[in-house]
This record gives sequence, structure tokens and C-alpha cells, in this order.
Amino acid sequence: MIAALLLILAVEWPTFNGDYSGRRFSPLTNVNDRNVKHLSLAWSYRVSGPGSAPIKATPLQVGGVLYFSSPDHVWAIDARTGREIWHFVWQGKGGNYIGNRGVGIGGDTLYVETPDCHLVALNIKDGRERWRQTICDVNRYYYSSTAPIVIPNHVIVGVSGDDIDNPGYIEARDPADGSLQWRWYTVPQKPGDPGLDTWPSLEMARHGGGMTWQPVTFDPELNLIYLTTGNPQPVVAHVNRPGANLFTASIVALGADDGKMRWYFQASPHDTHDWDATETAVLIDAPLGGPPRPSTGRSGGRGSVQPRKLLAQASRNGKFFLLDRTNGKALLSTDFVPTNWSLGFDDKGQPIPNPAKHPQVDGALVSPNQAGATNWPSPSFSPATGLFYVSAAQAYSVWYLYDTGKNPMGWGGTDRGGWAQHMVQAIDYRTGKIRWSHKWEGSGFSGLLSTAGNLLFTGDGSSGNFVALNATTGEPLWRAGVRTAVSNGPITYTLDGLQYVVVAAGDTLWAFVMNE
Amino acid sequence: MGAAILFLLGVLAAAQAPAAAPPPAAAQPPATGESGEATTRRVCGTLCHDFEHVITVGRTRPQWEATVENMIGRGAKATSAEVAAIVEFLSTRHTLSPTTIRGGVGPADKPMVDPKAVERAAPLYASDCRACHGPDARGTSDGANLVRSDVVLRDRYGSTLGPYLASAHPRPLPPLTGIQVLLLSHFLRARVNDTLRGSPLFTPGDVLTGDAEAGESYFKGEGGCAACHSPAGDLSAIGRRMDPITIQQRFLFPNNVASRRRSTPAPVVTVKVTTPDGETVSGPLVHLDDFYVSLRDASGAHRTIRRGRGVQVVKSDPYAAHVALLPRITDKTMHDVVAYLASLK
Repeated sequence: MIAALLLILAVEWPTFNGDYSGRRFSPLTNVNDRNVKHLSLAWSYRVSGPGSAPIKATPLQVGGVLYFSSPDHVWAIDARTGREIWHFVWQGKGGNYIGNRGVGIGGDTLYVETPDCHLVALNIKDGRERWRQTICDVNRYYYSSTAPIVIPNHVIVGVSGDDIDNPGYIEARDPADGSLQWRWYTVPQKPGDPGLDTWPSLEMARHGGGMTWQPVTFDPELNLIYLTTGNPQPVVAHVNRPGANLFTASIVALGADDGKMRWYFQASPHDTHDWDATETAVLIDAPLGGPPRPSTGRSGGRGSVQPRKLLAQASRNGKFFLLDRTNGKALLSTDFVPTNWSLGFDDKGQPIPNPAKHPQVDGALVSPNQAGATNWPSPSFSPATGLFYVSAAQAYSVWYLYDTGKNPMGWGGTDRGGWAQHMVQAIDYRTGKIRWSHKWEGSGFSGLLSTAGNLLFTGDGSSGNFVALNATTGEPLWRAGVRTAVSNGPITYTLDGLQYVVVAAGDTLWAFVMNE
Repeated sequence: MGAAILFLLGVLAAAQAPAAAPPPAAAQPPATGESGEATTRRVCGTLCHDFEHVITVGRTRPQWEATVENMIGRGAKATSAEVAAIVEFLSTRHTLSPTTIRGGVGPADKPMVDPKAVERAAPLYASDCRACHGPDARGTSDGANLVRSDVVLRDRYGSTLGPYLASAHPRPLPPLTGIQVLLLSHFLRARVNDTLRGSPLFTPGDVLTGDAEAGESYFKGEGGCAACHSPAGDLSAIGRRMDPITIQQRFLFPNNVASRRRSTPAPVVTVKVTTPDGETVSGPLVHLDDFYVSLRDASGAHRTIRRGRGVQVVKSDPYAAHVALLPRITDKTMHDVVAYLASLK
């Protein structure tokens, strides 16, 4: 399955991360570190009207057509020419319009989530609605913003919203009609549920948050999906939820067909900074240990040591984790930027929060800030360089506790002010060491794409450029001014023998091509 | 307050920026002729969320100021003048007031709260509901948590609350008029909103917990603050001119433009560029990325130089010393410095 997807990835971009691994690595080499300076504009497509900006969705490219979304909107445009084929508008009824990460496609059906808690299926040929299903309760301040992931026999959908104290969950839906196949709550819902001993009461657990903002990754051989979960509730004021608050801010392996938990790893035990742990769980098949692999190879990095089933996450709290994805055991836990909130790691490799750095009435200076050491924009792993790339920030802010009562709800505090230095960190997945670090003058996070052409594509934040870096050294090689910050994760594909690179910045999709 | 930070900036700028630097306005042209709404749309409605998301919830002016400040801390880019225009627009047009009591239809369908209705409902809640549901409606051993009640959350201006109170409430209640139900609906929605981020209840507590003497020693010694600042000069009577939390924010994050007053000009970041043939150009920085550096030269002209082999770019950030504090300073010292500065009356 993975091999088949990799083959497809040369010509298409069929799912949120390109393939199920979350690596956002393309085997294409037509555009490479030697010729990228000639990469030129193919077309741009600007959306207009309500809900048009910014485009956070990663477009899918299937059959020469790009499909992408923003809240209440889905577009199909010609991947060669940028001309619109159809535009679907959902008649929304409330919810949160902060963003939409994209669509899922299975066969000739497209799946998209809406701000008012619907999963909608469209015919990819004409954008006509096939069916709709309610997946959450908009009155309870849930909303939907994530990209559905289509795996064999299931559409995996997550839910969003950390305004009031609700439980997070993830669902598998029937691709044919959207009916519910299974639902897994991220926090205990009834007596006897695992993790309940990490909450003071069932009542607190049942309202304990843990939203499922990020599209999952999937290992077809193990038949496991890898879910990353959001912050606990109440978010900042935490006096009434002592304990680790499982399974919030965690990486969780679930059986794809039964929705049952196989293992978990908590990236931010008892989170009090809205850090989540929803960054992509990137699946890496590579050796661990043994001789260092060549850093400039374009072969896909075949090592002499047997590849292992690994999982890596650069988490919003500033920690980089490498796990054995068969059992969730941590192989490596380290900082990918300096942080000041933890007292090392426990025997499971999970960070130990420093109580002094929980939000305080008179303020605690904490790094990272609320936006985090990274955030939802997609990381990338290149098997060619052996490097895990993350859009990162060294950031500080002061965290205040506002609700000092015994039973806070909702937020009860926040951070103020702040300073941040944004950068790309290139992390050696085996050691966690920073191989290179490239700082930006601008601010903001952007998604990443690495390719076998020894390139790393991303945005330089508010400086408003789409850039290509040398994936081995971080040296800037190419840029195009795209007016505003890159707002999604770039993709690449081949049509008619030409390699395209497509990225969104604000209300515009830009396509670049290497002409013959 | 503005005067203090102006002083502070002036001292820093004088210490690190060339005397020939033109006024900062040259570095970043003011957005002339643009409406407050247009500025807000441009700055707040593109990078992270769209404009409609920004104006979802009405806020008071201090809340909008804090919100905008927060956004700057998270990377929003705006000049002081733009920040002032944004706060003005939002505080005027998207305030909490009785005129915004109803949400819209379709995507804008959000429950709104009329503060006057909440006020009128308070005695009714106190007499009929509070004993069981608690002062903040979060429940007691005798009554449910109403902030988490589906009846309350699904309610729109009494639509579900009215029928529930009339016939489904666990204890029979005396009949309520339609107006009373509407008032209670506003009251309970306000209690839900109390828990949301940006809640009007969420205001800082006492940040004046440090030791002023220890703060003074740090200021004069290890902190190196006295190199640029003086309690008799730029910081004179700062404890009268700024509240403690503002002092705390500004000494840590002076480069957060929202934390400056609108009368204060932006700090001048300067840059010195040396080209391969030895030419040196310096002046206020306009734009810098990996490929180009733009600045105003000594004549005031805009210059853009392509970065590449042999081109040296040296940036001077007047706030560099403040940024350098962040990884070093402890929370105790931070509180001590705030206490010291606040004591300068």
C-alpha cells in the first residue's frame, strides 16, 4: 500500500500529507538543488468573497485536478492551468470559521468538514452534494476544521473547539454513506475507562477536552492510525484537574477497524499552556543506530541496518519525540528549541512539567508562548537526508492565571505579550541533534515539503516569500514573492512530464513549474 | 505613559542608532487614507484567520487592546499607528453593547448577550436559581452546572430554556413570564461567556509581588539596565505613569508594538550593508529576507541590495538588550524588577 502510494505520489497528491506517512516527502527530482533557480510561475488562482482567506488547506491533486477548501467552500481547479472547474458553497449555520485544512478523496467522492459540524460528501466530477452527516454539536461550541483522511473502508474525521469544556473524539465513517462506524473519545467517559485515574473525577474527565484537530497518519501494515490530541480543559486554570489528564496532549495508536487504543504516549502531561500535542505524528521507516547515512544521497537513504517502524513528532511544547510505533515506547526525547517549562523527562520519556511555570497570578515567563515552538503547519521528513524538518520558533510570553476559584471552567487565564524568533529546524531523527537551523526575519509558521531533489520548500513567514532551501545545508536557493505569508503546506506533482510545486499564501494559490 | 516609553526608546536609539537616521516614518510609510476596517481586514484578516473570525465576539476597549497585543505577540505585523486604528475600529464597531444583542443568521448565527438584560436578570437569578446552581451557575451539590447544560447551550433567547423551565425542571417552578425567561437566557449565556477566552472576567490579578530592593540591585548590577535607563531620567515616576502589568510587559517585550502608546514612534531598526566592492550603505531597515535587504540611505532614498556572496548585512536592533534578557531572567527577578520600577513614584 505504501509502495503504491509512493508511486502515485510521483504524479498526484492524493491525501492531506501526500501519502499516509505524514512525511510530506516527494520522490520527484525534476526540480532539484541545481536547477531550482529556474523554477517559474505557471499560474495563480485567487479566491474571493467570504471565507476566502487565508487558504490553510493542503490541496489534493487527483487526475489532473486540484481540490482544496476553506470554511464553507470547496474548489476544483485544473492543475495544469489553474482554471476553475467547480466551486461548492456550503450554506453554513454558525460555528467557527478559523480555518479548514483540506479535503479527503476516495474514488470519485470528496469529503469535507464544515464549520457547523457536518461531514459533506461531494461528487468530484461536478461538486454536487451526495450526502451530509452531522459529526458534532455546534451548540456546544464544537466545530470542524480538519481534513478527513480516507483509508480502506473508513473516512477518519476529527473535531475542533476548545472554547468550553467538552470531550474530544475521533470517528470512522462509512465512505459510502457517512454512517458512524466507531467513535473513540480522547478522555474517559464512563467508569472503568482507561486513563480515569489521571483525573480527579469522572465529571472532570468527561469534560476534559483533547480535540482532534490534525489529520491522522496511518500504517496499513500494522492497520493502526496515529492520532494526536489537543489540550485538556479547562485550558489554563487547572486547579480542578490535578493529574496527567489522559489522553489529552498525546499521541495515540488506534486500530483502524475497531477504534480501540493500542498504546499512547503523552507529549504534554497536565498541559496548562494550550500547547496540545496535535502536530503530525510522522511515520518513518528507517534504521536506528548503525553507521550514519550519507547526508547528500538521493537514493532514498538505504542504510546497512534493517529499517524500523518509527514515529516522530516535533510537538508544540518544544519537545522532539522519536517512538517505536509498534508499541509507543520512546526512543528519544529532547528539545528542538530551548524551552524553560519542564524538569526533564520521566522514565517513559514524557516531559515533567515544572509547577513554577504553570500560569501564575503575577505572571510566569514561559518559553514557548501560546502559539508554541511549532504549530499545526506540517513538518516534513526526508529519507534522503535523514532530517526531520519543522517550522519552529523560540518564543516567550508571560502566562497569567485569571480565575483563581476552586472550580474554573473554559480558559481562566492566558498569556500576554511576547517575542518570537521563527526558524526552520533540521533535526537528525536518530539523535535529535539540530543539523542545521535557518532563522527567518519574518514571523509565522509555514508548512514544509521536502523532495528527493535535495530541496525543502516553505515560506519565510511575514516576509512574504515562498522559498526553496537546500535540504542538506539549509542554504536559501530560490524565492518567489507571494505577497503574504505562506499559509498552507506546499505540494508537488508531475503532469505531462513537468514538475509543479503549488502553495497557498493568503487568498491565492500559486503554481510553479520547471519548464523543459 | 507614552512619554516614558518615548524616553526609553530615545535613550536606546541614541545609544545604538546612527545620528543621521531619518524619522521612523520613513522606514514604514503610514497607511494613509485607509479606513480602520480596511486596516483591520488587512492586518488581522489574512494570515491566521479571516476577518469574520476576528469580529465574532464583541469586546470592551481594554479587552480589544489586550487581544490585539496578544496577536502582535503571536506574530501579527502592524505599526503603532495601525494598531491604534485597529483598536479604535474594533472598540467602536464591535463593542459589547445593547446594540449588538442579536447574532446574525447562517454562518453568523451566534448567541449574543445584552449586558442590560444580564443586569436586570441578576436579582431574579439570585432569588430563584442561585441557591442550587451557585453564584456563577457552575452548579452545587443541589443543582446542575448550567454552564455545561445542553439546555442552556442550545438555547437562543429563551427558545429551549422557556419550555424546559415550564415543564421539565426537576423542581416545579413558579411560572415565569416570557420577558423573565429572555432575561435569564441572557444571564446564563453571560455565565457561559465568562469561561471563554477573552472573557470580561479574565483580568490580571496582583503582579506586584516582588522585592523592590532586589529589583533595584538587579537593575543597577547584573541586569545591565542602568546602561541605558535611569530612575531619575527616562524612568522618572514610571510607577505613577504605568500600572504594574504594563511595566512588566514593556520591560520584557518593548518590541511588541501593541504595548506602546500610539503617540510613541516605532523604534528604528537600522542596518549596515557592505557590498563586495567595499561600498557601505546604512540607515533604517525597510525589509530584510534571505535574498534582499531594503533600507533608506543617508539621503532618504530607498535602496534595495541583493544579498549574495560578499554582501555583509549587520542589523542593529535597539531592543536587543531586552531580547537578551528573556532566556536569562528568572520569574523572581522579573517580579523584583516590576516592584522596583513600580516604586519609582
